[in-house]
Amino acid sequence: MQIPIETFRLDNGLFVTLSEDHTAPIVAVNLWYHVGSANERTGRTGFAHLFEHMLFQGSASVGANEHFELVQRAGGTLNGSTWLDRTNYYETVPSNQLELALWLEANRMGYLLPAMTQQKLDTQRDVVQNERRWSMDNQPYGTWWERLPALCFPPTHPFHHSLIGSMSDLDAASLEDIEQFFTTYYTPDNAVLSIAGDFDREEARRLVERHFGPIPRGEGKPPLPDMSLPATLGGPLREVVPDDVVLSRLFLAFRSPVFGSDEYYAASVCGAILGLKKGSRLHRRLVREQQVAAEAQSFTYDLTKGSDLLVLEVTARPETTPQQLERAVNHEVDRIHEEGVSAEEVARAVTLIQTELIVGLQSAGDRADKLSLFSTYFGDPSLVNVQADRYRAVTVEQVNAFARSRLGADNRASLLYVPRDAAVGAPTRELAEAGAS
Amino acid sequence: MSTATRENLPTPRPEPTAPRSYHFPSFVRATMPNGMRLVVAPVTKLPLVSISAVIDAGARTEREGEEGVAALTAQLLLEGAAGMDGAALTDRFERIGTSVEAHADWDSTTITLTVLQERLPEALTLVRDLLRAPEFPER
Repeated sequence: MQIPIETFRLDNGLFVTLSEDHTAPIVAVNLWYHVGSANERTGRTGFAHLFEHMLFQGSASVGANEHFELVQRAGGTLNGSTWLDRTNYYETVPSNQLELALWLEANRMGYLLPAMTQQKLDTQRDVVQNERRWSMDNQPYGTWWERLPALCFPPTHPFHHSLIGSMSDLDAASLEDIEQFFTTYYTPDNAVLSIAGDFDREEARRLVERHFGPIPRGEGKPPLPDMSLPATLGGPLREVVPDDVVLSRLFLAFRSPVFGSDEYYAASVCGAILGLKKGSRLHRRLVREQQVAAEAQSFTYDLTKGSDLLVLEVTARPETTPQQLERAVNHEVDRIHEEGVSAEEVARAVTLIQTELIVGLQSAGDRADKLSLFSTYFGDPSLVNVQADRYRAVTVEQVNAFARSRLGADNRASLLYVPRDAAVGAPTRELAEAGAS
Repeated sequence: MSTATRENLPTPRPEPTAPRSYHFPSFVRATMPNGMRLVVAPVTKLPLVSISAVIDAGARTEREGEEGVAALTAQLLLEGAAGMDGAALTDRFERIGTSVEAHADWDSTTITLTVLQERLPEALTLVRDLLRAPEFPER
C-alpha cells in the first residue's frame, strides 16, 4: 500500500508535500512549524501554546476570529495543536475552497504582526489560563500532563517543563515576546505545508507559489541545547499525588528509544503487548483475571530527540489500594522484563498496529498531518508508506532485547494518583457509607 | 534566490472556484438464498474493509416490561458464540487486528468492524458466528 506523494521546495525554504486522492471532493491543508514548548526560554513556559492561540486572532487581511468564521462558513473544519517539539495548524475544506485555506495560512505566516494588539494578547492569555484550569488543575488526574515529563526529564532538559505553562510565566508574556517568537520560528524555512485530497497538482503548485512565495525566509533559529540523555532513568523514580479522585491511577513511564529508530518499533510493539486493547497483558491479567484494575492502556510520546517515553496507564478498581495497584503493574512489567514475549503476542500487536496505521490514513486531514510529521522530523514524507513494513519487521528477539534493557527497575518512573482522603488515612469506603447514612 | 521581503503586500482574498464533482461509490446489491440482503460499495484506495451487519430489530420493537432488551441483546452478542466466551471472542478479533462493536438504537441493531483486506475471510467467519451461533451465557 502506497499513498502518492510529490514534494517541492519554494525559494524561501517552505517544504511542500502533495498527496492526491479524489475519493471525496474535500482537501486538507496542514502546516507544521518546527517549534514547540522545547524551544521556550526560561520564564516563558507555555508560550508556544499561547502563541498558537494568537494565530487565530487575525492577520493583516483577516479579522479577529475571522479565520474560524471563513473556514466554517465554507463548510470546513479547522484547528491547531502544540506539542513538545512542533506546532500544527490545519483545515479540511470542500475542494473548491482550497485557495481560501492556503490564503488564510499564508496571510498569518506572512502578515501576523500588523494585526497583533495588547487586547488580543490579554484575551488569549485569559483563555489559555482558563484552559489550564479546566484541563489540568480542575481535572481529575489532569496534572499528569506536566508531572510526568517533569519526572522523566532532568530540570535542564527542554522536555522537562510544562507545555501549558505556569500562570506567572503566562502573565509575563508580552507583545515583544510575540514578535520575537514569530520572527524567529514562524518562517517558511521552519515550516512544512502538506495538501492531501481532491486537488489538481499543477493548480495546487501555482496557488502555493502565489500565496507563500512572497513570504521572506527567516534568519535561522537558535539551536536547541543538547537533548541527549542516558538510555535509562538511572534508578526507580516515584511521585505520589493525592488528588480529588475516587480511583487510584498509576502512570508508569520508561525512557525508550526515539521515534524513527529501529528500536522504537520494538518498544512500541512491547507497549502494545502490555497495553493495547483487551487482549493485552495488563487488561487480561489485571482487569479481567485479577480484577484489581478498571482499565489499562499504553502509549508513547513519539519524541525524536533525547529519549522517547513509553507509558503504562492503569486505573484501580474502587476496592484496590494504590499499593496493590502499583505492585500488580510492576509484577507484570517484571514478568515481561525477565521472561520476554511470545511470537503470538508480537503477531497480535503488529496486526493491530498495522490496522490502526492504515485506518489512520483514511481521512484527508490525518494523511496530511502524517506527511507533515515525517517531513518535519525526517525530511522525508514517503516514510509514511513504510511504517507498516517497519512494524512487520519487528522480531521477538528485538522486543525481548528492549524489555530486558529498558523495563528494569532502573528505568521506571511511577506517578501514582491516590484519593486525597485515603492519603490522610481515611478509607474512602467508610466515608461513603457515613455519607449515605 | 528569493526576492521576497516583509514589505510585499499580502495576496488578495480568493473566491471559491466551481464545486468539484462527487461520485459516491456505486453499490452492488444482492439477496442471499436465506433472504439476507448484501450491499457492497467498493472503495479501493486503501487495503481496508469495513463490515456493517444491520438487523431490523431496535428498541422500538421492545415489549412493555422488556425495555432495554435490544441494547442488552446487542452487548451479549459479544459475550459468547460458537463455543467461545467473551474473552476468547475478543482475542480472536484482536488477532486479526480489529475489535468489534455491537450497538442497538431505536430502529436497528448493528455490528461493525474494520479489518485489513487480507483478514476479510476470518472477519466474516467471526461475524457469522456472532449472528448465527450466539450463546447468551448466564455466566
